[in-house]
Amino acid sequence: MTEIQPAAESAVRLALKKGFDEAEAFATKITRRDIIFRGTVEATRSSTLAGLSVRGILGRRIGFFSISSLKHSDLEKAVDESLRIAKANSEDPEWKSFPRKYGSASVQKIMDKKIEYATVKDLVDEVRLAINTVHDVGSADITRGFLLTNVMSNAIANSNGCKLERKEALAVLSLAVRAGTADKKGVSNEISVTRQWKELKTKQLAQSVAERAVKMQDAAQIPNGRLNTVWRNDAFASIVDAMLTRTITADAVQRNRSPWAGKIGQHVASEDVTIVDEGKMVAGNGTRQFDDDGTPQTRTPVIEKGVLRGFLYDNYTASKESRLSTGNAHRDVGTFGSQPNYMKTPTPYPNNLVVQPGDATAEEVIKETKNGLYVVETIGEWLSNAISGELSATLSSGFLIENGELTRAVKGVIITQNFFDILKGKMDLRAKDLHSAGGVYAPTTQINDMTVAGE
Amino acid sequence: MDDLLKYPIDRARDLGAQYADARFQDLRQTLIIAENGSLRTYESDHSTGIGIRVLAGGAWGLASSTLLEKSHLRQMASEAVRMAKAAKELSTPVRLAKVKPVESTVKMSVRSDPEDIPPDVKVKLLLEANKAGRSGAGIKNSTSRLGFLHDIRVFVSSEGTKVRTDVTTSGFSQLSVAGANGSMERVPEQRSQCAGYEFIENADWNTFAAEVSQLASKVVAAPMPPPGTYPAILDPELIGLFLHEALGHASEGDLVATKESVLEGRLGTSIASQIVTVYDDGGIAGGYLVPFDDEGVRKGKTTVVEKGRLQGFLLSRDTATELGLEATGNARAQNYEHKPIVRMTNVYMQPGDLSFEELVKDIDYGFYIRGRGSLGGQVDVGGGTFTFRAGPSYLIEKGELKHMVRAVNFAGKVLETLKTIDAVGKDFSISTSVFGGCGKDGQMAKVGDGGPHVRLGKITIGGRAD
Repeated sequence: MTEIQPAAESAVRLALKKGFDEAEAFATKITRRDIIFRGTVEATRSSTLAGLSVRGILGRRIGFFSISSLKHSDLEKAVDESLRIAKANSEDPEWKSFPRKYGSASVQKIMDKKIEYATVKDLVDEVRLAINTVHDVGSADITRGFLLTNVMSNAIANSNGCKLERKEALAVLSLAVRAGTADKKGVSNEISVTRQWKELKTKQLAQSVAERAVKMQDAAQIPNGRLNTVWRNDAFASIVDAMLTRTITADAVQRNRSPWAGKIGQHVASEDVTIVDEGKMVAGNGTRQFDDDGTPQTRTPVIEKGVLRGFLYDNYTASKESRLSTGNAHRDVGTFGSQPNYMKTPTPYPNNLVVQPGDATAEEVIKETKNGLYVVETIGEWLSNAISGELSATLSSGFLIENGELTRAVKGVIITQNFFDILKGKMDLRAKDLHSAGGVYAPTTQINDMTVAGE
Repeated sequence: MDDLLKYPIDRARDLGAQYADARFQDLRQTLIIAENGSLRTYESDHSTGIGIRVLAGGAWGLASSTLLEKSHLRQMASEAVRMAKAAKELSTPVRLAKVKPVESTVKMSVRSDPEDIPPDVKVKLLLEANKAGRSGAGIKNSTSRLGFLHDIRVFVSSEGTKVRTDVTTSGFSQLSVAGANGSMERVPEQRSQCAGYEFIENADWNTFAAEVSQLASKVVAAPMPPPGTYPAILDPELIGLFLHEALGHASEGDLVATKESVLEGRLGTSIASQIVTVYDDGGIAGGYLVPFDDEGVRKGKTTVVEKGRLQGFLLSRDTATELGLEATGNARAQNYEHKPIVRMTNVYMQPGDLSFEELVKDIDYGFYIRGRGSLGGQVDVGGGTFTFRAGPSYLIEKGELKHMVRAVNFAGKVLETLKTIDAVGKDFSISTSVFGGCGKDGQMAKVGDGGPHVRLGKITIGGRAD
């Protein structure tokens, strides 16, 4: 297969030759292996894909076209199509140029050789461990699971001389477990997404999901009311993902779809709340040497001690305000179903948005809460309204907290609260156990006084 | 193309595979977005690729690539066989339900191919509609999108099946954000059809965008409902979404076979009230066209529920064998790269004979829950819990529609809720989307859904207790 860096450079040369004033090419190569399993293995898969997009500027008119090939004749087609679109496009008065300041940051642990060179046998061994561990918990069975390794290389070249290449690896283990019979059934899900093979922690994950499925057999609803809650770290990260990641970007602010516009310097949260985008976090799932514009990734405070400090920028939104990009250009936003990143134009998005943890353990937070609801899994939290702040999530797995202890299993209730109010004072204790969901890392967190719609 | 695909199949058979199939896909997608009066992006993509699937030693092995050269296809076939054999010891032997080999080509007729329409024509139409969406009190943001998808799939199997499908989809969407008194609300809405550019040309998108914005202006000032359990009427858009999430997923054969689904063991039993009849149909007008699935099996009309009784599941060839049933043509893959898994096509409820007024008049206190402006829904298939975010909805008091309410979230348990359906309307509509789709196991599939207006005896609504 043709290498991505020379292909990107050659696409830029071709674009300039064919009449573009400025040009950029973004190329991707992905090698993926996965095993899909339930109680037994269903399928084993290996795939490779390569593609490239060309973004060209004619005057201030932008053209963009992508193609699943790196062959010279296809690059030519991508350039021609991109030119055809640019000619039809209206001028973008805000366009300045492709990045002139580009480069790589020094980052650690995003390219694990163990993931890159994992053999099918390594994957099979890990799957066997998951299946056996769940099986040992008695009545539990895996109903759906997959183990995936993904190695991705990207190259960017632009007419300002940018020539960059990066490589990253990711492993994902997902388990859905069922316990009991049709009449009395408990289910539970866990997912581990990591840059380090050894952090998959297959046995631990399988044990935890199976044990919870057994407990969920007795899950029931609870009456309507207002309750103090404790959100497990990944469940809370999902909430923050739904409520913040799309509105703290410069794009959302500039286009009037952010509730945070005009609030820089204001107290938007209680003083103990700090949320920072850590673009260089060691082994962070969103850590890369440079973003999808070619700008080095960095650290950007969003909320510091309760004060709104800044937004996340890519090259385009930064040049609109004549400032520097924060290295948050992403081409992988809103591409559920693993649509490769080269197919999209960049937009700002968090790299690793970290909610600053506290110093307690999760157990201590639960104990301190005394009476309330412990939220482990929710569905539909992504249906919340990040603009009005109305947060709503349906509990699919949780437990009552009584006298500081987890007691009976609960599911099926709708939990609501305004997220802006949560930030301003209802988010009390936080544990030290950071965990990721989507682009967010968050600790186990206590949220007081939430509305619960149940029986 | 058939010859090229035969090549890896023969190779896999030579290496000992009991069965092999190859899928080629040629996919063209265009997404044009205008926001607040100017063009934001015009993204266009052309992707091609081949995926090989083999059954060797009783297990599935898959390999796929964007590189379409003959020598590479040979390697892919070997890789697929190697992958299948690697996990053999952990596999339960796969057995495929028998289907008759078929040779067929289905090309949807398109009057005006979106690709033949010059980019500037599309841009002009979009910008005008976007401008129309900026009208209305307190509109902060107007985002309009045009989407086009042209999906050609070729399927060839070692059993002699050769199927080619060619489907074009076009659509328009509007997202309006309104603000008033320090509060903001967003309303998304879209219309799509399996059709060419004629679908875009023949509709008035300026009015469509303006109406979405008016709705956003109105809903931002609307109160939230009090949380609790109430009777409710769902409109066709929402009943479609409800059936898709609450019933459709639970009827997927893979989830039934693993005993994850709440419908496991209930075939032939009553799972809904007697006035409920639900189908999954690959050819229904207004839905997404699925003449064949990605195993080359013809997708017709499957009865899932008939008069309240669970009548059938949605099945692939392997899940059909596991459950002792026949394949229903529901094995679908996002693209050539993915394994076909059990998916819905277009799920809908058969209409009844009541008018909308008749549905409303018996409700003393409840809600008319609407799909327009809905953000979607999700189901926890195993636990049987579903949840939705409805669009701007209405309070019903003493048999009459009252004021608008916002941010309506509702949830329930699949089996309990299906039994509370106590009246079915006589209207009917079905819709699909070029922009979104249904997500399962990391794959996206185009689907459609719909039905008539339907009344639920009780449903849990999450609001805010002030």
